[in-house]
Amino acid sequence: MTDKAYMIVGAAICMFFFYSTQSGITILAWNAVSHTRPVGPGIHHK
Amino acid sequence: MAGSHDTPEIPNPFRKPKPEVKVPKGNVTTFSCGKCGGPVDVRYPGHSLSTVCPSCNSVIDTSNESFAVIATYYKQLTVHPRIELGTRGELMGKTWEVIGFVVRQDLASSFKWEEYLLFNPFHGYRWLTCNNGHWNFVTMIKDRPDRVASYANLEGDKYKIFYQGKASVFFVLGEFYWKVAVGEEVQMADYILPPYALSVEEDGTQRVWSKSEYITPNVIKDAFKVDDDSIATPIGVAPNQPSAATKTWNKVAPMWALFLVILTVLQITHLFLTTHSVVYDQPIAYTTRQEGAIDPTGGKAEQFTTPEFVITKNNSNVEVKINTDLDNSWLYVYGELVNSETDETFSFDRSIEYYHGYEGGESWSEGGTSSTVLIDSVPAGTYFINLETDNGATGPANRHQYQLTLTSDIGTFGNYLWCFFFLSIIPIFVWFKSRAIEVARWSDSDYSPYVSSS
Repeated sequence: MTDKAYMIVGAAICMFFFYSTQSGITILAWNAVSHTRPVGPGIHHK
Repeated sequence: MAGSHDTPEIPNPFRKPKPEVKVPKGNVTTFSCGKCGGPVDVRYPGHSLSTVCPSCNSVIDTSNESFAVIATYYKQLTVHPRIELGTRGELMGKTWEVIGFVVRQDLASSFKWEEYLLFNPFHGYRWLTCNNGHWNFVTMIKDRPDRVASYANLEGDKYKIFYQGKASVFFVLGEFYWKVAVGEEVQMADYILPPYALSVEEDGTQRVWSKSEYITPNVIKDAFKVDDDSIATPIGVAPNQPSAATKTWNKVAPMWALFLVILTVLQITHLFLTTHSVVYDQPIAYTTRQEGAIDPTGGKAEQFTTPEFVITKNNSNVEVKINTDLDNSWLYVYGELVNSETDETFSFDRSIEYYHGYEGGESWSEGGTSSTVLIDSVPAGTYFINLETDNGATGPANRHQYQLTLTSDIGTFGNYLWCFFFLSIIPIFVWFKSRAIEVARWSDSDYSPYVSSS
């Protein structure tokens, strides 16, 4: 049961990865997150 | 099991299965025990060579009608079999009667297990063993497996050694096809390939091989109509108990390897085919505030619009890189990548901060002078960027600039690593589960592959 489910899930992930390389999609991109406007030095010069 | 018998079943694949013949009741012979005078039954006089008096546990020779006592025991132990002698049950498609019961123990550890001798006049003898509540159906075999190092090979299958030691008969009840005696010792070895196991017993005069198949306690309950109290709940993992997790791991592992290879090939191809086209790369000027002065922008961010540029590859990603000369200050950039033909807009913002100094005898720094943002799936077309900047400079007003670089169709590793991670969740979970079962299985073995020899 698990092995059949994994076969389907694994094939789906590989297909999605191929699609992402063709469509320019980024999965959970850390550098696409919006920033807030800074307020000045944080750690040392508050 | 001990001794030998000459009626193991040799399966013939070309023979039509015979309809099960009703097993006749044994021709029971009753006589008085020569030691205590108690009644002793022999169910299969023509087959049994010895029987045990149920009253005094003396072993009686049944090979002839003199019924001589061949062994008596000063210390009488009583162990009750889980399946009563004389009980009949259907197991592996045949009817078997329980005629003998032996408790044996490993001489090194005193660990005990039970063995039940089964008999069918048409099919001979079989054994049922019960070890920590785990049951095995045992058939003696005429084949002699090859023993190579820590393996025994039979019919192309490799069985790994699990146990080797000396065992003795601790308690005995019923009738047997050899002259059984308490204290009888044999050299034993068990090899496993779940759900099967091979066992070999040697007593100096003969070597007997047998093949076991794991069966669940429920099968025993159903076959011999035994109540739940008699069939104990299995403890731990039996040497040849099949593990669903291990079976799943054996199927999932090759798939995992295949998927990772496919993923890696796709990633290499992706990196090879990406063009890394720089579509815009210009400095953008901005003015810092005069310290103590009124904000020259009147509270509005400084704005700038870039000239138009062309992105040629359709649905490619675009990396925006902002490289500054910040020094103990911050710069905030809000941008909109606008398609001049369709007005489709992709917005982004970055805050860049860089501070450094020397305090308490040591240097410190915080943040950095550059930042990147990745925009997904940008259609091909002509674009420009609207930019707004704000900054936190506190010195004299001054003109500064940052470098804005847009690169289209860049190769990334993020998707590959995420897919690698998602593909690995199930196999790693299954591997841990399988390993836990295997470690438990081998915990009672001197040949465990999970224990360091050091």
